[in-house]
This record gives sequence, C-alpha cells and structure tokens, in this order.
Amino acid sequence: MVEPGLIRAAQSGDRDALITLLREIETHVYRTAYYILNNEQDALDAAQEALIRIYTKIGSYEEKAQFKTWIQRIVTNICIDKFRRNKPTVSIDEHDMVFYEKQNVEDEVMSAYAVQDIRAAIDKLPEHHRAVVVLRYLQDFSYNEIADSLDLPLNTVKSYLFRARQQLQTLLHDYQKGGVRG
Amino acid sequence: MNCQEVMELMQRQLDDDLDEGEMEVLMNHTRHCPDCASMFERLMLLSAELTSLPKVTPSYSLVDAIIPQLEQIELFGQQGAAAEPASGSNVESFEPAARRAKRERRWPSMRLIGGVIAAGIVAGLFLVTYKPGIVPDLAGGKFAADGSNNAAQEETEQAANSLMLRKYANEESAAAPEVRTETMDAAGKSDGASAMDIETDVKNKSESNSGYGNADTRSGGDEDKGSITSDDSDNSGEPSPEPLEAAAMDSEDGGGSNSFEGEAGPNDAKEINTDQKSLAAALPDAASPDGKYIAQAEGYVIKIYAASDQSVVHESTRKNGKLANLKWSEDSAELTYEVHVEQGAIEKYAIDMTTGEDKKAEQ
Repeated sequence: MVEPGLIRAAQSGDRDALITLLREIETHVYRTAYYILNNEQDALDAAQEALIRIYTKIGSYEEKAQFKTWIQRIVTNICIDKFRRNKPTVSIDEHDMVFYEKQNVEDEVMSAYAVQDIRAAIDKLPEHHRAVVVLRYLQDFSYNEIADSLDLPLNTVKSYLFRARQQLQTLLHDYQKGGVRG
Repeated sequence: MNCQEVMELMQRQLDDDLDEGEMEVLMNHTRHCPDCASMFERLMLLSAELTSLPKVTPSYSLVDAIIPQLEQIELFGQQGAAAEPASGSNVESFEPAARRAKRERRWPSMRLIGGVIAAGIVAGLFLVTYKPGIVPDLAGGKFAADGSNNAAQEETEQAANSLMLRKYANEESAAAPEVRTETMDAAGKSDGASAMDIETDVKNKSESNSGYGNADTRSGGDEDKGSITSDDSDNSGEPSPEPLEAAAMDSEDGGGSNSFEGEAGPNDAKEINTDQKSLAAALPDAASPDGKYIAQAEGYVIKIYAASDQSVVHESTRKNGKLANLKWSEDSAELTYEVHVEQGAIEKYAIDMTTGEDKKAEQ
C-alpha cells in the first residue's frame, strides 16, 4: 500500500515525504472512520485527528509491524474513543425511520436501501465487533492483521467477526421481513 | 458434526480459511441439513454485501485541511529540545480543522453577550454603589447622573471642570439602556414613583450636565424638590419645561453657569437630540453642512450620527490621540479631523461618507 522507502524518508524528517504519505493513506483512514462512526462529519473529524497523530508519531512506527495495521490501529482507537463519547446521542429513531421508508420503494432503489440497512445494522454492533467487521470488509484485512490493528488475540478476532456476522445476518433478515421483500 | 460446529466452518469459509477436508465436511452437512444450507446462503449473501459496501472517499482533501495544524506542530517541535515527546503530547489538544472552525464561528456572539453582561454588571454596580446619593435625587425627579456627579462634586464649583463632567455625563447617557433598568430597580422603593416617572428621570439624566453643579446645594432641600418634580412627572407625557426650569434654577444656585440650558429641548422628544447638540458645543464635533449628519468625537472614536434619528451611521476605529478639528467638506461628503498624538504630532484623517472609508488625509 505505502512504499517502505517513503515511510523511511518520512521517518527521517523529510516533511514532503510525510505529507505525500498522508495523502496516500487518507482515504483508507477516512473509510474506516466512516463505517465505524456511521456519520460523515464525525468521520472527517476523526480521520483528520488520526492523520495529525500519524504525522506526529511517525517516528515511533517500527518496521516489524505492518504500516497499514499501524495506521488502522490509530484510527480505530480514535473512533472507538469518539464512539464512546457519542454513543448516548446516537438516535435509534433515526434508524427506525430509514427502515420505514424502505416499505414503499421499488426494487431498483431497494439495493441502495440495502446499503442503508447494512450500515444501520453495523451501527448496532458493539464497538469492537464493528471495528473487526470494518477492517475485514473495508480494509480487506486478514484475521492476523485485524488482531494486530486492534491489539486483540487472534481467537478473539475470530469470535468477534463470527458473532458480528451472525448478528448482522439476523438484523438484516428481520429488516427484510419487515420490508416489501419479506 | 453438529450444526453449531458447522456454523464455525461456514464462518471460516467466508474468510477463505478452510482447507479441503474441512470444506468437504461443510458441504456434506449442508447437503443434508436445510437449516444450515439456508443459513450458509444468507451468510454468503451478507458477506458479499459487506464486501460491496461503497468505498467512500472524503469530500475534501483531509491533508490539505490539516496542513495549517501540521505547520503549527512543526513550530512547536522546533521550539522544544525534546521534540518527539513534546509534539506528541501537543497533538492531543489539536482538533480537526472543521470542528475548530465551528467553535470559532460561535465565538463572536459569545463575546458580544459577554460584553453586554459586563456592561450591565458595571452599570449595576455603579448604581448600587451610589444608591444613597441617587435615591433622594430620583425622588426629587433629579437624575441618576446627578448621583454620579456627586462623586466629582467637590471640584464642580468651578466651571473649569465642566468640560470633563459633560464628557462624563455623555458617557453615562451612552450606557443609558442598561442604566435605565437598573435605575428602576434601585428606585423601586421610591414612593409612588411610576415607571413613567423614572423614565423621564432617566431622559432628564442625559441632560443632567445642565445641572451638574447642583447636588450639593440641593442636598438640604431635596424633599421639597421631590414634591415639586414628582408633580411634574405626573404629566410627563407632555412637554415639560418645568424640570428644565428647575434644573436651570438649580444650576444657578450651584453657581455652575450653563450656556446651553436654553437650547435644552422645549419638548421631551427633542431633549436628547438637542442635548447632544449642546454637548457638541463642548466636545469636538460638527454638524454637516447639509444638516444630515452630526459628527462627534467620543473618547478616541469619531461617531457620525444621522441627524434625523440619532442612529450611528459611522464609527471610526479607535485612534491613539485626542481628536480635534472635526470639519465637514462643503458638500458634506467628507469629514476631516485631526488626531493629536503624543509629542504634539498631529495626524489628519478623513472619513468619506459615500464609501465609509476612514483614511489618513494627505498632509
């Protein structure tokens, strides 16, 4: 994803290299934040915070870890902290509305709403389960990479991912039964 | 193998984590177990949907957005000898630009509210402090500002100080809106004084400079005057020359002669207006030739009022010297004035009334 040479240059104090590196990773950082936080504005804030932290901590990155898991660790930590702060304000009603709207739309639009459903379902997962799902599907990480990113044992990652998928499947199945398709 | 164990195989299959043997076990089971087969199907569908979630991208360049903050961090980093840990801890306090901008947007109104509150508190404290002096004055229909004049009363026998006092009273009247409510509170106990009553008092207050020398001489006869002026205030809706006469009388008593009493409004509506004109005589100010504007130096600021409704049409920036020689151009389009800074230097400025520009004039 990011050339080792660029990382080394950035670490040795080449500011331009560091900025280039940040530009290369900003989308990945943002995407994780977007799906963990399920809110564009929060995601923009969190991603910026993560990039600033990467900028200042680049010196502490050690090559024995993968760079991509190192940056995902930073962004997921920020998001999970943020998510904890925001959790009481997440409105359940808002999501309910999305599901109601689904009832009288045609199949063509339906696929778009399916994405809404999936996002809403992800939003209902506990924070670490959600982070595992996001890293697995949006960053295409392996179990081990997820474990490194989240600092969790491999077995925990697996059990979180399996439980998360089961729960998502149940939630989405329920939504479908409540919708036109059911 | 039970369904629960197969469930794990299904899950791992979604992540391509099964070897051939495990794969075969899974397939054999689902062939004979419709429940697991349909579950596996749903899970595969879910996994496919998760994989095809939109690959969102930020709506603007995040790196561009944080560059100003990064530059600030650089500065911090260069200052500290221990750059690494120092900048690390600084970072925690840096917030995303968007959120910071939001906060900044909120600030001006907060500052404004703070200013208003502060002004109210100052006015309130001021009146509370001077309450003993004011209450009889109010009862006497005689202006809170007199109370304030009390403070400087000792020196006011001499007309020489009048300028300073007028200026003071002028500042007072600028704060009138706040002062008025406070005055009402303070006078709440004054017998039978209606709100109307007090309002006229406050109005009078702004021309209280006409009676600035009076508090001392009146102190003995306050009660008498109280009865007189509270009568006046009963018909406060009408043009009331009487308080003015009283004021004139008072000031004669006090020995503080007053050149502009006569000008002081014949009716209530014009009182403040004419009062400002009369103040204008004392402070550097000027009416424009076409009569539309009145320019006035207030402290270190030039204010231009519309003659029609007294609204401020222009307020200059704060100057660092005494303002003098306000002059209008013939066509009223420009106001020139001088700023007398320290060491006798004079800077000339001009305000263009069409553009509102306030700039240094050519010497």
